[in-house]
Amino acid sequence: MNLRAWSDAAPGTPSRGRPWLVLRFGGMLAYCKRLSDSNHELIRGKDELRPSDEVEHRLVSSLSHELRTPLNAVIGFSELMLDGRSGPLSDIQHEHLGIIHTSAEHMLTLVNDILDQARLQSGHIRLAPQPIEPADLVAECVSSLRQIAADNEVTIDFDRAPIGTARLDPARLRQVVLNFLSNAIKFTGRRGTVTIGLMRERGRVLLEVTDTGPGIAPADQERVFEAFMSLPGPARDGTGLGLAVTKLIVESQGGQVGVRSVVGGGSTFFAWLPVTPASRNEPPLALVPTGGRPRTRPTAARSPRRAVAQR
Amino acid sequence: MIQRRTGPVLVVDDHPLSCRLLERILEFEGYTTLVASSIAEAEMLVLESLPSLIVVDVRLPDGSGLDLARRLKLSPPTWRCTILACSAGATAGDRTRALRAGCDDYVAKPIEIGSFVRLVSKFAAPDRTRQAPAVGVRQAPLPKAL
Repeated sequence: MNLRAWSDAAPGTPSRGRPWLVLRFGGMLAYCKRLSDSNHELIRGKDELRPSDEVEHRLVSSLSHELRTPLNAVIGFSELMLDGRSGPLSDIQHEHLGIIHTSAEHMLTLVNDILDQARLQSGHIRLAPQPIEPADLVAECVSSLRQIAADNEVTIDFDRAPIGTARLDPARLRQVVLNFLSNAIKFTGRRGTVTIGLMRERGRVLLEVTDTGPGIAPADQERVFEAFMSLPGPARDGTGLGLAVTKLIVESQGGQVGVRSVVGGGSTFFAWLPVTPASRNEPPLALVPTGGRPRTRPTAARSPRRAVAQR
Repeated sequence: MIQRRTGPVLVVDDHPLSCRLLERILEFEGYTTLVASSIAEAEMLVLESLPSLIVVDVRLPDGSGLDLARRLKLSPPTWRCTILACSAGATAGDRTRALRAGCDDYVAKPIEIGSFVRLVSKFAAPDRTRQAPAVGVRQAPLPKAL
């Protein structure tokens, strides 16, 4: 760029000549410096304005507490009525009450997802890896969703061949599998098939959940893991946080999530997790089905490693 | 093997609807219930009627339910009482704190009625002679625990 020419051509230039050019150039530099300084100030200000993850976590925790208390009453009393313990209901009353109950359960899932997201972001979820057989855990998730799949006329295809004991956090892995699986069941449509692939390669476990749904356009594939991202099409009854939470869980363990999809050809959601093989004298823990069976003493009480950071 | 005890179940919760819910669930299962909305009230009732089981909320107007649990578990007349903490805290930390305070188990709100009833029936036997409360046209309760 010809600075001389620029200087000469600039309107309002008081005079022409070399000293002016130098002064003008210096002025430009000073101006750039001021711009960059104010930019830094803006960036700093933005960070100060944004509540820290810690503050956000505390806020979300108390919000979760406050929301759970009324939800306890809505879910509990509607359940007592649906059970018929509060007297007989007509079919239409039963149906309406069922809607109230399902909606409250949905709201609870949302509260849980929001709480999980805040805890993962602020590092309040500490992983508790234990020796487990991932295939057993996936099989357990499959059986817990079998009824929902049957209601939606979806077939789940899973070959539960063991892939070898690995040290993983069972609660978090279960969350990942259930999120992928329920998502796939929801989007695959009637008479669809959901196929689960589980394999182990070079110190990592790969989980793949493939559906026969409508597929996701390439532009949307990058956004499916964002919070409250909804894809075009009919409204779904998800919380909008399931995949975002899944991504946080997997990444907090040093793994990765992703999706491969072709419009009209179904989608495959995958997650790989780094694992360390369990030592020989460490037998896999028996996985207790979570189907509401009460546990008198959870492992949390015995192992200090499982103690999640205090709020 | 845990010896199932007989006697009333004490519910300590300052939220009236949570209290009512626990009371109804327990009464439908054939338990006699007592209700307290503060630690002071609970301590009085405990000494009066030595409950078989205490379901205690963590946040109470006059202190922490966990402190109450700790005290009861350390004092001679009440140390045998089974104590279940029941709170809206949903993290593993909430459970751990309750168990460290001496509670026998932790139930997160919203409670899952089926598992709550199974848990209660493990520690306390329902009072069979008690008549179920007359609510609407409800039929006689079938204590699941028996």
